[in-house]
Parts: sequence; structure tokens; C-alpha cells
Amino acid sequence: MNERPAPPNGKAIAPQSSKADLAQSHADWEQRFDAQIGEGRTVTNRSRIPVKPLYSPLDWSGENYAESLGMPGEPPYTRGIYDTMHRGRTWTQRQLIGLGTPQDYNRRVRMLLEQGASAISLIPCNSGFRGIDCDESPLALLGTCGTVINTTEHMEAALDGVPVDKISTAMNDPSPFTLFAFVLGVAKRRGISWDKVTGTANQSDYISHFVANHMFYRLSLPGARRVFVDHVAFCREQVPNWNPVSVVGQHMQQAGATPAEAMGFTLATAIQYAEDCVAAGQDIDHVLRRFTFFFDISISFFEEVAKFRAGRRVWARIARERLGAKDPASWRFKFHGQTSGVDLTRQQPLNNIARVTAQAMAGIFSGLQSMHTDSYDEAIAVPNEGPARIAIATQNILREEAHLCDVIDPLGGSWYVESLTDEMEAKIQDVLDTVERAGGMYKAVESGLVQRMIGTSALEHQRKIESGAEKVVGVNCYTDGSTAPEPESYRPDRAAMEAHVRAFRAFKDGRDQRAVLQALDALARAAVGSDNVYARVVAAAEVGVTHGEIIACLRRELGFGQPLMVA
Amino acid sequence: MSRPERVLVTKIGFDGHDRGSRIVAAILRDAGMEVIYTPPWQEIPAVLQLAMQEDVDVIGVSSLATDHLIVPDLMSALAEAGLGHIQVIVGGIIPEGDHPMLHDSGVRGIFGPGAASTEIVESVRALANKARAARDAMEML
Amino acid sequence: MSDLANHILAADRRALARAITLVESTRPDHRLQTTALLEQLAGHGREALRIGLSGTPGVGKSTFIEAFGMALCEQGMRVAVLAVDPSSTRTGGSILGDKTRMDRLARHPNAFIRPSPSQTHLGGVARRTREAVALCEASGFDVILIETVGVGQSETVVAELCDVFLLLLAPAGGDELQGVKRGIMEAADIIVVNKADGDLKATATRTCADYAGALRLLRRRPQDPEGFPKALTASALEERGLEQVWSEIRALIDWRREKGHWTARRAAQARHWFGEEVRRALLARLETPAARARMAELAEAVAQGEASAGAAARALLDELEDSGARHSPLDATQQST
Repeated sequence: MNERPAPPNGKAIAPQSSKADLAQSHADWEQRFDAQIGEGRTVTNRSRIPVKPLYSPLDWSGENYAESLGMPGEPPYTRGIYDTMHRGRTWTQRQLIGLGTPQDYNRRVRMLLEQGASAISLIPCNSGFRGIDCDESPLALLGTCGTVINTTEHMEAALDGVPVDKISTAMNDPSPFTLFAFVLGVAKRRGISWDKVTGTANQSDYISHFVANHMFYRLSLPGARRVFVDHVAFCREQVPNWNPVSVVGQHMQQAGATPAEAMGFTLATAIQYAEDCVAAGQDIDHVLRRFTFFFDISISFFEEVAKFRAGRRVWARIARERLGAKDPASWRFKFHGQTSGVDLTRQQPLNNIARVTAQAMAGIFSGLQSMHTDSYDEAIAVPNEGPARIAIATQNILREEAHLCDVIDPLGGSWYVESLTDEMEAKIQDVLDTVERAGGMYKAVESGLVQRMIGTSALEHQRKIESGAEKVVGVNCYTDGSTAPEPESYRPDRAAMEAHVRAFRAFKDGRDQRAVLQALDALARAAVGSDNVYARVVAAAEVGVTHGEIIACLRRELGFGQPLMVA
Repeated sequence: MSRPERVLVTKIGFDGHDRGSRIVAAILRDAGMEVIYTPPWQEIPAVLQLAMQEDVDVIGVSSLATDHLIVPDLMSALAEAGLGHIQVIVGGIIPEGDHPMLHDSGVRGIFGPGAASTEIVESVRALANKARAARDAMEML
Repeated sequence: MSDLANHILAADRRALARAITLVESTRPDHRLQTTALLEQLAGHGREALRIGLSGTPGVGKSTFIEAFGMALCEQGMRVAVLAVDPSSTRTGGSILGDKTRMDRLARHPNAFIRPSPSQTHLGGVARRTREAVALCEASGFDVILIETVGVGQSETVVAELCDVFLLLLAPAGGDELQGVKRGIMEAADIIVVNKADGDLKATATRTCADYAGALRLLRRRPQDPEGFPKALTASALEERGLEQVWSEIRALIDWRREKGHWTARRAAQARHWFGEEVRRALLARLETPAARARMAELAEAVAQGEASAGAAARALLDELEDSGARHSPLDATQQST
């Protein structure tokens, strides 16, 4: 075993004689190791890269430091995209929350802000993801997984007392971005100019929804493509400090893609979006400067660190060489990381705190810009308040007590991490090449290629867990048979939800019906014509058109989003 | 077995996370069963139609985000449609507090994220036999 | 008559679904039940219009069947959809996900959709589909759409099962025109160029004209009136052109009925399937473990030069005949099929 040749850049800078000495002493060690280990197990990470028991300057020598690493804030940004990184400003603590009525959400969001959260997020009710309003949904399901927000009025209540001009916002708000339209409506009512609105449309990546998160998939593929491009153009004009694009690797990794595949597919998607915007006449540097990425951080610690370091390097190259962006700021790979819920277990749920800690450390060492840590009850229920506090505290402890932010890219220069970064880069490039051969990401997902690759990886990982090749504490090893008491599952107050639906019906009856019809008509005409569709969504939201009405209209004109089922 | 078990793997309600249902479908297929697989967001009447036309023995409902709360509605709809012999199992994230409610409605098995393939396959197989026995005892065969 | 047969005749869809499960089973007692059931149902029910449907992958077959089937259902007809899928054979189970793309049709009270699982050999698939068709007719369906899944051998099976054969094609350039196998073109009664919508509309019209030209070059068949086989355009997505497809089918069928071709075709198909059934049963006798072992043994003897091929074959056939005395004697030429 372990007779893999050293990677090409593993040439030692040391003089010839000492390199030979090193090779000799490594060979001697290997012999002793093999003798003692016997039929030692081989280790392969999730991205199918074999992992050796030891790394040395034979694997990575730092010879190409300037080209492959550079300083933080310097292309290719392997060590970080800013000069000061976490020494200057640590990551944004962004906890995804959403539950119950807008009033329930408002209480929770204020609590998080008091505790030091520096940005807010919003998860809407699953009925909203399906594109329907609360009055069309089974009451039993309303507000159990997210907040029921169907109008600008609802958003007003949800953001009561929250300074939308001072705090960064991110919402799980897939195309056609109705929640964002409601936020803009709230800003307007409060007299806040739209250039003060900051944050990220963190579910703008319709391709990832089509492939891997069908939950968020609402409009047909060509329809979503159209709205995407218009949304980017609208934000550039009207809400210049908003990031309209977040390319989401998280969905693919959660659906079972390996970390390398998730990164490769995400970068391929980013290429597709950038080229679509340029084809619509937008400037590449303007477009890329507002690009952000969103990833899962799994518990495969070193692999995750290598994934992000390699991703930054590949993206800088793509942005510069492939997409032709001139401004080095457009080559920066800005990303939000979310600790992976897939790794959490229902068994012995408190163990999840340890898992989230390891995942968060991987995220911090990867130099992320924004982070969400999962609550330990995530695998069982919608996060409760207590577990949500622990999740935030985990970040605070790692930063303040463990001093993880004292040094920038602290794992850089490790023979293992650097060599793994190179190998991950090669894997990511393989994925990019596969997609390229299929005609780009849009075509590759249309044909089901990407879905099939992810399906294969998902099954492979599942089999590893079942065979015990991949250990999960409390699931396939160290099962103690005990069942820890489960946290209470959150259920919104039934009476309050009923009242919310009643009020919604009354609101619809009391609207200026003519204005509503006119706005919907303008929206439909824009969808089949050349007007900016998103400008019409925002205008409709302002006059009281609901979430469900906007989506129904666009589904009629642009096609219903039916994901491709690849069995 | 010369007549494979027929299983409908589906998702009702709003949630769209279908990694679990796909994996379970593949596991059952590899165990030699005939799996009818649907995308998420099926409405209960559609599930009834499918189950009836495909003459399934078992329905597996995957729920990761509280959609199991409407499984009792599916159970009563099945009984009303004369498909009471079909055995129903639920998999995914089901809080323990909701287990009694599901069992009371007639659900025969609940599988959490850690359930082993073999456990699922064996259970489906046993339930399919039960469904067939119940079906054969019904008027028409 | 059995309860199951009575329920099928009474158009009970649950009974039909159960009977199809029975038909799909390979268990010997189920086979016997199936034969008995079909025997009871023979001559009952109605003669449905059987429409065969084939097309290249990506042509929008499911969308077409859904839109077309919905249009027929809306006119009050009862429509069954069956599928022949020998392409994805695998040991063990299968995943049937196709139906879900016909979401609306699957829920229509007049429709019944039942794609078959794949089986290891085409003969099995053909018999099962044929028997399912018979069950649907007994259950009073007006139209039975028989779809082929994948491309390959299954078209010929479907052509031998249906009254009208539709070939669905996508708008394409001249090069791709050549990709359609001549045999499939010759079996088609109507070619439908689907996806005549949006950007592809003009291409579809051109493609349609190309195929119309190609069809004119084919030998004229006695069972066709003037102008058939013909090529049409349609958009299943926008639900346009479907009425025309239906009226052309009707015109063709009416003419064939009037001229006696309908009855003649069904009679020829019955003869064909009888022959197939006999051949299959004979071949099945070579597939028993004992027969296989004996055959391997004799093959080895022939290879070693210990016996001539002819003599060894005769020995094997004699043995088979003895072991299966209740079957009619094998004729020597049978072995070569």
C-alpha cells in the first residue's frame, strides 16, 4: 500500500543529497509502518481520494508558493480572499431561523440579535416553498418548518423593530424572490432607501434546486433562468448593495454529492450564471463582484478545509481566465458555510454538539465569510430555542476561547493539507471537465447527468455507513442502546395560526382589487415580453399581490417547475 | 420470489428533500422488489390512484419536515377507497412524540435516519406478505 | 365465472389492477390462474382501439401521451396506458418512475396507467403486455395506448399488438432523419413530429415535410387508404394538433374496418402470437436445469469429436420428447429456431 507517486509539485527544494536522504528515511519508515500495521486498512475520503498515513516534504514542498498559494487577499486567494481575514473581521454569524406566524418569528429574531447575531435570516413555511398561500394549505402543516409570510404586511410584522437598513439579511427565497420583494416594500414604507438594504438572496441558485433541492424548485428551467437574469439586472440598478447571486453547493452535497463534486458542480453553475448574465448584456465585473457561494461543511474535517482552499483557487482562475473579469475583487470566492445536517444523528442527539463543533472548526480554518451552525436537535425537529443558543455559543467559544481566529489560514503549509488541497483541486477540475463536455451546467442538469452522478455517490456513502466502513457514533458503533429524551418538537399555536389565516383572507378581500389585477397583468405581460420580470414582481408585492398569486401567474406564463426524476 | 413485492415510495405534503426516498427506493429495488417511485408533493388522491392502479402491497411515505402529520389522512383515505389491505410505513425524521398518533392511525412501521437497509427490507417483505394475505381474504379472490 | 372475472367485466379498476399483477407473475400456479381467467373473459368486454406508440428518447412521449390521453378522456372515452419495456433488463427488482410524468392523466377517473416492469426476455414482456391488453378490453376500455420504452426491439412487438402504430419524432435537421430505422418507419401508420412549439416550430414544420417525403418513397401498403401513412406536427406541451392526430386515426380505422383490413390484421396477429406462444413453450423446455446440463454434456461430446452434431441433437430431442410425453412431438427443424 501507499506506493502512490508524489504529486508533480512535490519536488523538494532541499539540496539533492538531503532529498535523497529524506526519500530513504521515508522508505525506511514505511517499511517499519507496514510491518507493524500488517494488513492495514486503506483510508479513502468522501471525494474518493486515498489518504496516506503520513505526509512529508516529499508530498508538498512549497516550491510554487507564490503561484499556488500567495498571501491572503492576493490571487489565487488560496489562503483567504481578504488581507486581514478573521483577524480583521470575523465571519458573519447568520443563523437560519423560521417558524410559526410572523409574530413568532419576530420574537425569535429579536432574541438572536440580543445574543450577538450580526445578521438575520428567514426560512419561510414549506407551503411557501411550494408556491402557495396559507389559505390553500392544510392547517396541520402551516408554520411547522418555517414562517408563514405571504404578503408585504406579513413581512412588516416579521421585521417589526428590526432595522433593515443596518442589518444584513438573507432569506431562503427561491425564484421569483417574493420575500425580497416584501422586504423592499417594508423598506419603502419605512422611508429607507433601497441602497441601504444589504444581504444575500441565498436561494437564487435555481439549478441546484432543479438538481438537488426540489423543495425550492418552482418555475420551469427556462422560466427560472429568465427570472434569474432579470433579478440580477434589477438589483444592480435598484439595490446595489444586495448580493443577488448565491450559488449553492449545499444542496448537492446534502443530496449526496462528494465534497469535490459539490464544489465542481457549484463552480460549473457559477460559470453558467455568469455567462447567462453576460449574454444578457451585463458587465462581467459588475456581475461577479456580487457573486456569493453557499456550502455545506461536513464533518470530514481536512477534506472540507482542502475543498474550500482548492475552490477559492479554481474560482479565481475561472473568473480571470475563463470569464475574463479584470478586477481582482471579482475573482474573490466569498462563501457562507452551514454545518451539515446530514452528519447529525437522531441517536444520542447531544453528540451533535460535538459534531457541529468539528464542522464549525473546519469552516473557520477554511476562511469563510459567514456561518450557520446547526442546532443539535436539527435531525429530530425544527430547532428549539435552547439548542439554537448552544449553536451560536459554539461559534463564540471557538472564536473567543479557543483562539481559532488568531492566525490566518493556520493549516496552510501542512504537508497533508496542501497536498490534499492539490488533489481536491484535480478532482474538482475533473468534475468541471465532465460538465463542460456535456455542454455546460444547464445542459448537464437538463439531461440528468449531474443527478445520476449525485445519486451514485449518495448510495455509495450510504453503503459505507451500513457496512461499517464509515463509522457513525451511536448509529453503527458505540451504540449504547439508551435513548436520550428527545427534545420537544416545535408546533405553532393552532389558534394563532388559524387567526393568521383568517386575517390573510380578510386582507385579500379588502385590497384594491383593481390595482391587484393590473399588477398581475403587467407581470404576465413582462413574463412573455421583454420588460424586467422582477421589477414587476416588486411592483405587484407593493400593491398587496400575494406570494401565491405572483407564483401562480409566473407558473402559468413561464411553466411549472417539475424536477427531473432520475431513479 | 417469482412475484416480487410491489411498493410505492412517495412523499406527501410540502417537503421536497427526496434523498432518503431515493435511497430507500434503490435499496428495495436491489432487494428484488418492484418499486413505484414518485416525486415529492403528491396529493393524497393521487397516491390512492397510484396505489390502486399499481396494485401495491406496501406504501412507504418519506417525511423529513413534519409532513407525517397528514399521514393519518392518507390512512383513512385508503380505508375509504377499499385499499385497507395496503400496509403503510413511514420513514424520515419523525419525532417520538408523534409515533403513537401514527401507530393509532394504522401505520405499521416507522424508520428513523439510522435504520439499516436490511431492517427496512425485511419489514417491507413481511408487510407485503401480510398485505397479500389480507387482500386474498377480501371478496374478490 | 370467477369473482375476479366478474369484477373486471364490471369495470372495477382494482380488480383490473390485481389481474395485471397476476399476469406479471411467473409463478406456475399464477400462470394457471391467468390462463383460466383469460379463458373466462374471452369474447366478453369490448374491442378497444389499440394504439401503439413509439419514439426516440427526449421526444416528449410521456407529455404526448398525457395530453392525448387527457383529450380522449375529456371526450368521455376510457383510456388505458400500458408500456413495453424490455430495454432496462436487470436481475431483481425495478423502479417505475415514468408514470409520474403523467400526473394529470394518472389522476383522471377515466384513465388507467400501468407501465410494466422490465423482464429478462422480450418474449415474456410481449406475452404479459398482450394479456394485459386483453384484460383492459374485458374491462371495457375504449382506447389502449401501448407505449414502447427505450429504442430497439420492442417496436416490432408493439406493431404486432396494435391496430394503429404512431411514431413520435422530434424536430430535427436532415442528418438526424437518417437515424430512424427503416423497419420502424415502415411499421408506422402516422408520424407525429412533436414539440412544434416555441423556437422549434419552424424546424418541426420542415421536419414534417421531410418525413412526408420519405414516407412517399416507401412501398404502398394494401392496408392504407390514399394519403397514408402520413406525417403531422403537434405540440403536446401546448396541446395543439392533438385533435388532428385523433381524427386521422379515426379516418384510417374507419377505412380499414370498411375494407376488412381491421379484422384481417387482428386475425393475422392472433395467428402470429399463437405461433410465438408455441415456439416459446418449446424453447422453454430447453431451459430447464436438466435440459441445460444435458445439452452442455452433449456439446462437450460434439466438441471432443465423440459424436456428430446431428446425432447429438437428435439424442437430446428424443430425450426431451420422452420427458415431456404430454407435449406433441418435436419436429427436427424446430431446434434451429
